[in-house]
Formats: sequence, structure tokens, C-alpha cells
Amino acid sequence: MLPMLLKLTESDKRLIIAFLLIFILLFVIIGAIGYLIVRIMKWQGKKLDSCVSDVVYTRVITDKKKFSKFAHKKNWIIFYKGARIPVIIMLVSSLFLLLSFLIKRHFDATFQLDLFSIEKGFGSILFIWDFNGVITVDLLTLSLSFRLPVLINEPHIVEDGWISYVFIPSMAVGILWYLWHVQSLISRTLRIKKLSESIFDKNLDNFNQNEQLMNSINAGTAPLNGGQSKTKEE
Amino acid sequence: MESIFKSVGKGLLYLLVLPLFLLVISGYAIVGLIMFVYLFFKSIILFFSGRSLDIELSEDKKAKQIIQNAIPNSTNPVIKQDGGPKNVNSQDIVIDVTTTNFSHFEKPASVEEACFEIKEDKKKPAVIEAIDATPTLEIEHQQQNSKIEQTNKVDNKINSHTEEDISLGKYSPKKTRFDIDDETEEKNHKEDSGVDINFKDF
Repeated sequence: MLPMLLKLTESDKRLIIAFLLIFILLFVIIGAIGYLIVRIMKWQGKKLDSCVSDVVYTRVITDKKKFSKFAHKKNWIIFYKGARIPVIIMLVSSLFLLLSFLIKRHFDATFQLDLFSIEKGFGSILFIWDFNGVITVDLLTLSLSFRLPVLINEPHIVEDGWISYVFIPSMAVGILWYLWHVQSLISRTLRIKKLSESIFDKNLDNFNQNEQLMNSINAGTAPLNGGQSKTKEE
Repeated sequence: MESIFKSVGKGLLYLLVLPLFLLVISGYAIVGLIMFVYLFFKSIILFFSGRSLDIELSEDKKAKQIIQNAIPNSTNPVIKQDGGPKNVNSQDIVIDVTTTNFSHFEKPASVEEACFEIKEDKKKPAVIEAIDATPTLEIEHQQQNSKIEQTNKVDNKINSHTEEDISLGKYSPKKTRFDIDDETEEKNHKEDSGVDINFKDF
């Protein structure tokens, strides 16, 4: 290994350092995104408190099991109410795809539905590059070679692609919106678990019975023996 | 530098957890879809039975009832919005004693009673008391009037003296005797002259 490293030229070392920096940056970005997701989930979970606070404050529910059952029931209703619109969007877009396909097929028997193709699908309105052979590594000589990706497709509108132009964005919006509510559902579920353990928790970590007893005895009274210790009196 | 390493570590951790998170989210998405269909049909059934899939459950209604019952008894103005203290100037308040019925007020037996509430059994029919108390009140009122008249007479006597009667003689270098009685003053003035300080009725 060491002779191999010694064989590396200055430019190769620079290249390795550049790769390491890119990896570090990538991990930092992933960490930041993960942190953002965690914060969002905490915020989503907090919304449950307003729904279950009344029954806890008024002591209608005084049991961990009942609380969990009640909160989960509410959680599903909240999810149902929230997920209605994205589900409707997804259903409508699916229905649109089905109907348009049937109509097209009715007039043209050879019509094939290819939603993501560059020629007739959604890919026609996207920039598409060919990344094949961008980096080539020669293991025998330990040399790396790069070339720029080739642009295959420039955005252009195709007549046959209008079904995919409508279906894919609307479906993507519906799915993302639905997944947002699924994430909320998970956040609330985690919150329910946390609250059911904390609300009815009987924690004895900071409790000392002797200390409590002595505090209740000495409350508002002068110290015993006029503040002098027993040994001094003797 | 430390924070960057922490971020890198977190990034690595999240990258490892990402497949698990995606698995959980996809699982919940499928379960959610099943539950969505179930709740959809349930809401349809409830709709035709004249109800709706409401977020307010029976426990919430109970809690709401408890809160509603607690609000009128609360003295906290934050809780009891309509019963809070109002910014009314005390000078603007007019109490008509003749028309106001104070019969439901009674003197509290103790501080605790005054601070908290008067028990139901302690409440007396104050209207009957008022009827019984009227003769005694009239006698007391007459006695008070007679006393006031007496004091007025005394005051009138005091006030009947003129200012000349009460006022002291004016100082002059020649006049060194100050007498209240005018007659004796005149006599002394005639009999002898010179310095004679006389403190009459002293």
C-alpha cells in the first residue's frame, strides 16, 4: 500500500483531498437535512398536545392505557382529515390518466403509454445528460480520467406527452403531500408514546422520604437545642 | 471544527438510518392508506346515520363539560372572560338605596365566611327582619333627632355672641391692661392711671 501511495503524483494527492472534501460536505449536507427532518417531526408531534390536553387537565383520562388508546384514535382521525385532499388529488390524476389512455387507445390502436420517455413522455421537458463514462479508472496504471456529461435532451413539448405533463406533477404533489401527513402520523405516534410515559410517570429519582419528613418537622420552627449541637451541651 | 465533525457524524448516522426511516415511512404509508379507506367507509356510514366523523370524542365532550362548569365558579378573570374586572370609574357608579334590595346581604360571621361564601343554611329571610326592625329604627331615629336638636341649641347660643364680645382689646403703648369686662375697665381707667396689670378671673 505504502509504495502505491508513494507512486502517487502531486496532482493525484490533490485529487484525493478534493474527493475527501466533497464527501465531508456531502455528509454535512445530509446531517443538516436530517436535523431539519427531526425538527419538523418534533413540531408536527407537538400539534397533538392541543388535541389531548383537555382530557388530561380535567382528569377525564387518568390511565396510561386509556390515554394511549384515546390519543391513537385521535391521531388516525387527524391523519384521515389531513390526507383527504392529497388522496383526492392522487385519485383524480389516476382517473385522468386512465380516461385519457382509454380515449387515445380508442382513436389510435397502436398507442403505447410511456410516461417517462424522452420522446413521448415527461422526459421531453427535462434536461437529460448522459453520465456514462464520465469517470474512468485504470487500475493498472492507477490513473483517473474525466470527461463532461453529454446533453441528450433539451426541454421541448411533445404533442403525445400532455397526459404525462398533467399526470406526473399532480401525482407527485399528491404523493409528497400524503407523505407529509404520513410523517406527521409517525411524529404524533412517537409523541403519544413519549407522553403516555411522562404524564402518568411516578418517578422516585429525586424523592427522599427522610428528607421530606425532616422538612415537615422543622418547617417554621427553630433548630433543636437552640442551634447548638448536642456534643457541645455535654 | 468540532461542530463540523459533529455534523459529519450526524450525516453518517442519518445516512445509515435513512433506509430504516424509508422502510418505516413506506410501511406507515400503506397502513395509513388502509386506515384511510376504513375511515372513509366509516364516515359514509356515519353520514347516513345522521352523524359525522368528528375529531371531538366522548372524552373531549366530558372534558369540555367540566371546563364549562368550572368557568362560572372561577374568580380568575383570565378564565372567566365576561366576569372579569371592568374599568368603571367609581364616581360613575350610582346606588339608589331606596330601590336597591340589600336583603340578600348579611353580616358575615367570620373572615372565612366573608372571603369565601355564605352557607345556604345560614341565610335568613332578611325581608322579615326588615319588617320587624322598622319600629325600633323609628324610635332610634327620633332619639337621634332630639339629640341633634339639643346640640344645635347649644351651638346657636355660642354663635349668638357677636365678634365684638369675643374679640380681645387692641394693643396700644398706653393701654397695658387687657380686661374682658368693659365696666371694670372703665372704672379702673377713671380711678387711677399708670401701669396696672390686672388679670381678672385668672
